[in-house]
Amino acid sequence: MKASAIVSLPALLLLAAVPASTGRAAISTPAAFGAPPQGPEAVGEMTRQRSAGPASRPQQPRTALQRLGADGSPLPAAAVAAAIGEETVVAWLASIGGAQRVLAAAGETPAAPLGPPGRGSDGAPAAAAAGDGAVWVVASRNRGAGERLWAQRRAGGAWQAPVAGPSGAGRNHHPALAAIPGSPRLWAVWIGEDAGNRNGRTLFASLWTGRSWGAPEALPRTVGAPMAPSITVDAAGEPAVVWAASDGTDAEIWLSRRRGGRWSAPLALTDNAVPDITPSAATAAAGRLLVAWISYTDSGYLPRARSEDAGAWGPTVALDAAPGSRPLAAALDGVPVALWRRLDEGGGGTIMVRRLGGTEPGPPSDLVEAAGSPFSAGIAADGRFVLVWSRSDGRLERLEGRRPPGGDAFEALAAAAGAASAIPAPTPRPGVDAADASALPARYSAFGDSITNGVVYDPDRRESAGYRQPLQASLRGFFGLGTVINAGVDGETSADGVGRIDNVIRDQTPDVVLVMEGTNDVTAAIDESVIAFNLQRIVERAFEEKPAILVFLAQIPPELDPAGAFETSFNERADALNALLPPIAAALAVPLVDQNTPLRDGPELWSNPLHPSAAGYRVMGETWYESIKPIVLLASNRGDLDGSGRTDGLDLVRLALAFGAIAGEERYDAAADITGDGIIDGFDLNILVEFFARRHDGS
Amino acid sequence: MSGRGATPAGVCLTLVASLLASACGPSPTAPRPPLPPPPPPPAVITFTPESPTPGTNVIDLRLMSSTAGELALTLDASLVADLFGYGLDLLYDSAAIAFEGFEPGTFLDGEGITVTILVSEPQPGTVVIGQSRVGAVAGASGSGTMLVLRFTAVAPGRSTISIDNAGAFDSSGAEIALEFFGGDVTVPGTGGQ
Repeated sequence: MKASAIVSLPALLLLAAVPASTGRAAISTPAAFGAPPQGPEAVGEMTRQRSAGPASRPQQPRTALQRLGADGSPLPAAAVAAAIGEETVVAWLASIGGAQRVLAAAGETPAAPLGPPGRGSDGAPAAAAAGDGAVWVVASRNRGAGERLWAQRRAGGAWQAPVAGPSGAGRNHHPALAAIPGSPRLWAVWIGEDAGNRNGRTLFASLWTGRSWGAPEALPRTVGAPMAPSITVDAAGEPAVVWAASDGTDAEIWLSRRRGGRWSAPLALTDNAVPDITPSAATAAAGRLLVAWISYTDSGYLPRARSEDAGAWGPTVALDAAPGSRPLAAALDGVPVALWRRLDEGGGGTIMVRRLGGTEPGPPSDLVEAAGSPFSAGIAADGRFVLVWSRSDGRLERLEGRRPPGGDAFEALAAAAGAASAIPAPTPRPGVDAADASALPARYSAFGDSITNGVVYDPDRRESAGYRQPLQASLRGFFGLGTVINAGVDGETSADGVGRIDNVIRDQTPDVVLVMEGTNDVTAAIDESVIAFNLQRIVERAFEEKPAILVFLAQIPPELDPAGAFETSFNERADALNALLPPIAAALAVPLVDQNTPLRDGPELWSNPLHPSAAGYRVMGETWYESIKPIVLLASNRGDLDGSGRTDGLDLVRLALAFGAIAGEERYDAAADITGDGIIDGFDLNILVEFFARRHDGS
Repeated sequence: MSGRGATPAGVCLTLVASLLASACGPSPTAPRPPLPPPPPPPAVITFTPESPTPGTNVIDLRLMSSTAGELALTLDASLVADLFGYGLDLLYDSAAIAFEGFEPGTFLDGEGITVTILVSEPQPGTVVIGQSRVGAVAGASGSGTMLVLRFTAVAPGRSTISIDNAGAFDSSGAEIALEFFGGDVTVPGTGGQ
């Protein structure tokens, strides 16, 4: 985990800021640098830290992304790929200057930021290769007041100017694309919704005619709001859309096809008592439709698939007996295949592929180790393919190949498995679009129940700032920014939280969500596995709502018994729930925060059996902070202002040259404004000190 | 210890003491015990600078003081102009010497000027240094000491202290073409070797 890498910080670090007028130096703490300069007397401190440092590593090679200077680490659920002719295009969502923006790398050319200029954050992109040799990338741009799709086309080896994408009612996001074979036309499907009304979501589709986007067509609605649409074009050149939506009980997979200008009523491809989510559709030879998704079981989410042959749907195929991530349905040289990432218990995984053509599906085959998730793929009609996935170190990796003359593309894919190559996606650097947003997370939503709401009994019940105030003070003390917003609701259960999280993200627009819920479930004796599943859904829905969001998941606090100990049956169940959370956090790649152990230090940390005292909330706030700080530090440029791959004395000089400068001034250096707050001050120096003498080569 | 007494060195010292007693001692009628041999002069850590004399536009290491177990070096600037800050790595053999710490020099100081220093030893044998004036001020010109670096002996042997990844900047942010020189350290063996 990134967090553990940060905890072991530089070996012997001595920092002195010496006022020349006196030549004296006094011992102080790093936080002493938190304030902007106020004159010589304000910076006459020396700090000393000691910890273990990493061994020297080879420096990361310069990459196209670094040459561009607008690089960014890929964000979860954001990479797509398309292959056309001799060129493959990989697009992904990256953190640039604190905002989410789409970057795309075409072949070996430098990655370029796509989309219209100006403010706002992009959503996860979709990509497709059209029959005229163009590659399309479509994504949403959220400017706060509205969210619209933009589209950008690459043709003749160059990106054309972005154009407005199709538009439905209200906010528009979550696009998916499918090209019509042999034609410049392609279909887009996306979610449109009335602002602030989750149940007002509607699927829209539109055809790019070669000149413009056609009028949006609303698809028939399901009981629940549509999620995660995927689109393919069938043999008749007509689109088929699949999505996940509740049938009133749990999420199922739905299909609608367009025939004669009308969309068919939704067909349920699943009908069971467990959630089925994240479908993907593809059309194979002879118009055979393939849909893959994941279905919840006691073992976690397992990949499933169904295919249509001669107008009849076959049975659901269990692609794998092991839990997996969102599968990808694809037609590889006309052969229907499913690709997914098999998850192992340690949080890593392996990309698997399975041929689904013929009367009997082939066995699952492993392609390549893939520690990160998720992955995406682009497969061209001529058998050329590219797979892309993100690694746990934040870099993208791809696998490319093509069918040999007279050969089999599926076999070529398997043969290419050992030739995966990294798409370097180095440390995100602020300042590229510094006016858009601060480089570091500034808004934190504290999501949970009455404990998050700060309820305290002293002796009567009252609401306090709970852990939010000490956490905010710690964040501001080190980073100079950070607002912790209350999203705690008294008495809320995890099931309530599932239904509330997306509205909180939309309303509070946080950069970070802190999820701590389950105490009321445990009190109500709800099964721990149900609570864990709900917590998983809360995190997943947070990512669905804002792919670039940072989510922290907490293990719930204990309960104090009347004797001042922690021996209640509540604590046994809380422990059982907390034991279920590490694999969930690992699979979702979110940090897990232990809010149980620190609150067992004594009865003085509690104001009543379930609610901490002011002292307990301080402990809780500090526990959050200790988990957040290293992650947020990693989201910065780590003081490596010159992009050398190491934070060193040359970076210090660069920061010192710009010290005290405000954005807009000639001396202002965006790279030195590490926190992105528009002033180069002690908070930026704090971060540089944290990383001084460390390498950032991603290895 | 008996074995050491039989070494040529030990014999030599005994002979010298006897001769001194014969020449300078009291009369034969009142023989006095011989004086104990004087202790050998302590062997100290030596430092040989890579550049024998300070030059122009140079940052180099110079010997400040040394004992048998400790070495103090200065990191000096020589005839530089508008030096705002610099960064460099010191590389040395950690089997021979160990880095103990630093003290700021005065060259970059000035009235109302803040100087920031970062020194870190990410691994034995490497010290990463950054030192700079802060803010919208001019750089320093002339010659002087920027840092005092203290080492201790680990074991007898030789070590080169080299300077790597070095760069210096003037107050406009432009890189200054400076030369950087280290030196050689010798930690003496036991018995004054």
